Amino acid sequence: MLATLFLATACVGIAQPEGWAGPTLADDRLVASIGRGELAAIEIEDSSGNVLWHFPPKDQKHPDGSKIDPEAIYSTPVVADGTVYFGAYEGWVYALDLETGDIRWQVETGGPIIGSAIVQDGMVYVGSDDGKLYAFDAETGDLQWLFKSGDSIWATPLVADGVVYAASMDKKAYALNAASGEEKWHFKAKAGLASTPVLADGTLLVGGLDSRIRALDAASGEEKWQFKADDWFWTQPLVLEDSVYAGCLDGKVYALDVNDGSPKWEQPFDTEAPVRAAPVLLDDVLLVVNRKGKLYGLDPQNGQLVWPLPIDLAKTVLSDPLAQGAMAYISAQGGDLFTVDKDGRAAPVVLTESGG
Amino acid sequence: MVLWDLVFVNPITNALIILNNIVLGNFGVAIIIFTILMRLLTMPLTLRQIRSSRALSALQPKIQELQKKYKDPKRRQEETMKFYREAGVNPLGCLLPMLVQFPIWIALYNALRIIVGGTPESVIGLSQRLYPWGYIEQAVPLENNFLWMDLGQPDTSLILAFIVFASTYVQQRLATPPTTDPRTQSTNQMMMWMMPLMFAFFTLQVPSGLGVYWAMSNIVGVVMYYFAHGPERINWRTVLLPPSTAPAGKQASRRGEPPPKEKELAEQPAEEPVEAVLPTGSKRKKRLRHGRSRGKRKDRR
Repeated sequence: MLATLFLATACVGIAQPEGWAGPTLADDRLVASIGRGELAAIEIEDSSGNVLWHFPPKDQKHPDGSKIDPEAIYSTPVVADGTVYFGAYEGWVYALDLETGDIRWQVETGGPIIGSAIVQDGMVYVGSDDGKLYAFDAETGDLQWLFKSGDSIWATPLVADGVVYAASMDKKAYALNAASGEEKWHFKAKAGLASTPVLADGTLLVGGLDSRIRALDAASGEEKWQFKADDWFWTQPLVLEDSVYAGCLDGKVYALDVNDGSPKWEQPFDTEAPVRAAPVLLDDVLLVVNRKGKLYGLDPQNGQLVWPLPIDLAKTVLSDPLAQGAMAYISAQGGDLFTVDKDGRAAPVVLTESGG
Repeated sequence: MVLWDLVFVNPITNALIILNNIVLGNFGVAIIIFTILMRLLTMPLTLRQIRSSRALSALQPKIQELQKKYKDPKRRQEETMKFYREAGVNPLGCLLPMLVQFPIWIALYNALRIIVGGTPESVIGLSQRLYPWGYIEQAVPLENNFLWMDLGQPDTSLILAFIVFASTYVQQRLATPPTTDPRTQSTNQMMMWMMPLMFAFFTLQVPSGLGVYWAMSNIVGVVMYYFAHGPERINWRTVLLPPSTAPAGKQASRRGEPPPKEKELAEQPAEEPVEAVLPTGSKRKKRLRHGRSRGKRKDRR
């Protein structure tokens, strides 16, 4: 009886958030997640990295004196004017000094932060699991406005031409005035929207948990077209000229015509494992990464393999790669960093401590 | 593992989400309804388990007698097994239905863990298990808050742990058959406390959605025992009192059942009581409740 009980309970446990923050590059420094709830600034030299500082800092706390414990970091750091901005799963938004890692300001939201922050025109926009989109002053962290949606906001907002576009799990995509937070329009889908929207010539592209990617008129919110796959779209689509590339949790990568949503390839490329990471372009090679850490180099024109075989990182990869010309940085769960180039050569980044 | 997921975990996961939609997105209520439905579905097995347990309970005086009669352990074992065989009672009969239910329980544990995992990674994992029906997809992400609990997190308030402890204890008291073997008695007594304590401890470690399931499953189990035994056979005062080591008759009394008619059973010859006490088949339940019919049958013979 006891043995069976143990067997039964062995199947349960709390799922721990791991985080899927992607790396970002600023002033020759890579700011990346190097472990669960841990961020670091890394000076990159060839395939080695010198860690300059860590987050959370040992000597700093929350304003109320409590210990900083990010739990996990899903928010890809954003760097603007020497400051690193990101949100943590514990619900706090941080602004760090890029040079030292010191906290410039920190503000608490009402829930875990899954999406990344966007910095534009002196404002920091970030969505939270409490269903609110926050706009903070980038310099001070003072709240400028907040917009309440009907459910969690897990997607990174998009800011363009004075408009903030936000996708929410309440099944709606919102267009808000970037200065005031006033709603301009909203579009209702059939399920929650978790993918970060992108803009292409007045067309807003957003994927959803109803297995559809939709093209909306950015000015009015009217639907132009939709494309249905076999599972959810959770990746940020990539727009190149008149094509949109989107990975899907059904394991496939789709290439669609941005004007009407018709398929551009003969058939979608099947990676055989869910794709959460956004596809990126390495010069002329489309890099696709699936959850199992398999990397594929594709020809964006026809979806055919450019590399004869996929590269297997043997790690879970859910974060967006960072493309830099002909190479990309990839952050795997657990904190391992890799580089891959357009010719299909991958290498781990070996980290050393500088004591900073 | 794929087959296990395909046959057990995925259907349960989708059924839970459909129920969640039916009860307007209250996942706690969905878990409760699902638990009741599952217990009703497995009720034939549970009732068989209860009957087996009660039959064993009724045979205890005779078993005790056999143990006294035969000093040689091998012979004693043989005679005991022979007696069980002739009585049409399988001593493991109360375990088998429980074992049959375990795959469902474990699958339900898995499904709950997947659904109320609460982390973005677990939501991605959930997408791989959902049927591609719009009705199901629109439910994600699920509302994890129920009463004072976050169903994806352990309940640290101790309230749920206490409910699980109390309900497991009561169900244990009702379900454990009395025994004359001192070693089994001692084990039963230990288990009477160990099981509720362990489940209470697990409740503090796992998502509270599972704790809700355990508590509800126990409560439904107690209700089933109540109706299966008959209200007149359960003395709640004695059920709720702490157990102590005692002879079989007193044990039975403490768990809330009247003691078996030891004297009446002991008077019957070794070959005869088997048929007399526990006729096999559908009449067994009736005969156990109404001792007079047994007497009449004897007279007829």
